Amino acid sequence: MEWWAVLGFFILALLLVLASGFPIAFGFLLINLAGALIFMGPMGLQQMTLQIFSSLSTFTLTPIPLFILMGELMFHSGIANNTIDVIDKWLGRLPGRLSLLAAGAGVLFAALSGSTLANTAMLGTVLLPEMRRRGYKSSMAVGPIIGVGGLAMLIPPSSLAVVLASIGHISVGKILVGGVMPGLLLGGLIATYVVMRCWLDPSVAPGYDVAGASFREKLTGTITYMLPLGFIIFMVLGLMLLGVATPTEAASSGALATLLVTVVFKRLNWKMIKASLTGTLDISIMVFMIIAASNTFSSLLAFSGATRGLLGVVEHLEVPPLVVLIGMQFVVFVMGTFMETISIMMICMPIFIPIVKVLGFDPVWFGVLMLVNFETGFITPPFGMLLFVMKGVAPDLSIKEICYAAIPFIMIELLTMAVIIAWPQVVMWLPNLVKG
Amino acid sequence: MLNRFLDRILTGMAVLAGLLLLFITFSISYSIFTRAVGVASPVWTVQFNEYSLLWMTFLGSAWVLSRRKHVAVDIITGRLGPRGKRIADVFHSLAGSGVCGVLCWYSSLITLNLLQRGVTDVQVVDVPKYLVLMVIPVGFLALTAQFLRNLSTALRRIRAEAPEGGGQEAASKSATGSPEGTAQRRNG
Repeated sequence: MEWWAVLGFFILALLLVLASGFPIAFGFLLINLAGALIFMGPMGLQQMTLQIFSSLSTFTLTPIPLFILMGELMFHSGIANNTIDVIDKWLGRLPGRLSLLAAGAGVLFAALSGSTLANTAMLGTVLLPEMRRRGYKSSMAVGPIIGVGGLAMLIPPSSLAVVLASIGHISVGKILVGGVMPGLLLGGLIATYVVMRCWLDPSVAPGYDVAGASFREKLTGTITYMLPLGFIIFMVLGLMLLGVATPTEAASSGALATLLVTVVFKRLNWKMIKASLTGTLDISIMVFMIIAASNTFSSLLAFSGATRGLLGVVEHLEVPPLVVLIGMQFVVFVMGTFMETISIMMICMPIFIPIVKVLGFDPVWFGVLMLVNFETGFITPPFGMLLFVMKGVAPDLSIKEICYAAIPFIMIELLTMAVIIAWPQVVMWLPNLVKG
Repeated sequence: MLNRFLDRILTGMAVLAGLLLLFITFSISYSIFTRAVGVASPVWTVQFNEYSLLWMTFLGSAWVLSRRKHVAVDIITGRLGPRGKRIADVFHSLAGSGVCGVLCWYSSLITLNLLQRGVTDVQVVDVPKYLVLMVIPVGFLALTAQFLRNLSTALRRIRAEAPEGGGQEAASKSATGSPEGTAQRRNG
């Protein structure tokens, strides 16, 4: 069989199996099973076991459960919620202050947890009722929350970034650190948009009198609530930036720091610990079962000649590398609107990374670009997941209203991608500063 | 009876997985600590953490399945009626038990083969490789059992619904006790 027929067959079969609602992990195993049988015979099936072993027993995957544990502890203890109040006091009377508050808290939460879903739900539950009570239009209430919710994927601790790095065999530390600047850029762009929009059309976010807080009050709040969280951020991001800890070590110290902070805030109890451990096991095992299939899947792609064939085509394409790059991002964008993130990584990374290397792009930069792209997929109708999270938080809003509110923020995400493509330094500056 | 037995086994395996998660968290911190204070850090940290990832996954996978937390794309199945969902459930459980059954068989073969040939995983600490891989057939066996249980639940529900044209949730005392039809798209 020609390589393109094999590739087409593989991907089509996989998409069909996944679309049928079969759990993704077992869908990949099923396709692997069929592929191994076709290309290698029964020996291939025994080989699969060894590949499951080599896929999972990989030290670079260790940050995943630890980052998830951090997020779960943060979520179940509710310690991050106090900070919203503190940022609120600092904001004073800015236009669209609640939307700005969402942006600020979103960036902060992103630096504390890696779960886009939990963050969006947290922000939505805490801020949305207040926004609507103050007469904010849904475009200014829902929009900023889902816009900033996706940042969790980009700013460490981000388990999806680790998954991406390990499937693509890219440096985990560099991807994590590389996500910081684009994450801040996105947060900044969202805040700028909020201020501009509210300035041009004050009716979207009516101003209201704010009980002024004294400087002393602000400072006490900051020290009591922000400082401990700053400690957690330092234990993850700080240690990595200083180059003293590997991503795994940073993840472990971050998890311990979070545990310590829950002790300080007297939120540590058996119920909270049990819920956090259960949640962590649920998510990490679900992720790892999908990754278990990754080595076999990519070696089948290589074995069938599909990877080589595709590379040959790309090498002889008479178009600038940039066009190929944008084409790849477009494919991911389209997939992102209806598919689950890790499966997109599993399908795309083994095919894209060799192409990226042939074209001379930096895989770290490409990886971060992919992450921003996934984030965009999260808020893009019809199936962007954060849209549904928002619907869950505010059942009386129609999904149409939520989709409309998302549009400007999809534009902002696309703009960020364009900036990253035009100025790769946005991503690479920070990782290049870190030693090793 | 059989149900409760399986539940106990799955929960027991999940507890072990949880302990491994704690081991991962603390062992790495411990090695940073020892390095910081200048004491020789344990040499086995990396190796045993790698094994732990594999073991945690396969010990807990069937339990996660019983809680229906393995992520699936529900764009199409989410739109089916209750009966359609049950039928999809039957097919998924059949396919799942087939995949896991086959993989259980072949992973057992290779684990036995490693045992007979006395292969060791040569790292910092030499460990017989079959001891490490053993968890894979065990995990697939538990997964097969859980998929079969899902299958019997789904079939029972279809049968309970069929005569009266649905409505009777006679079998709602689900073996897994988990809510159905909820969106299962989750991300880390």
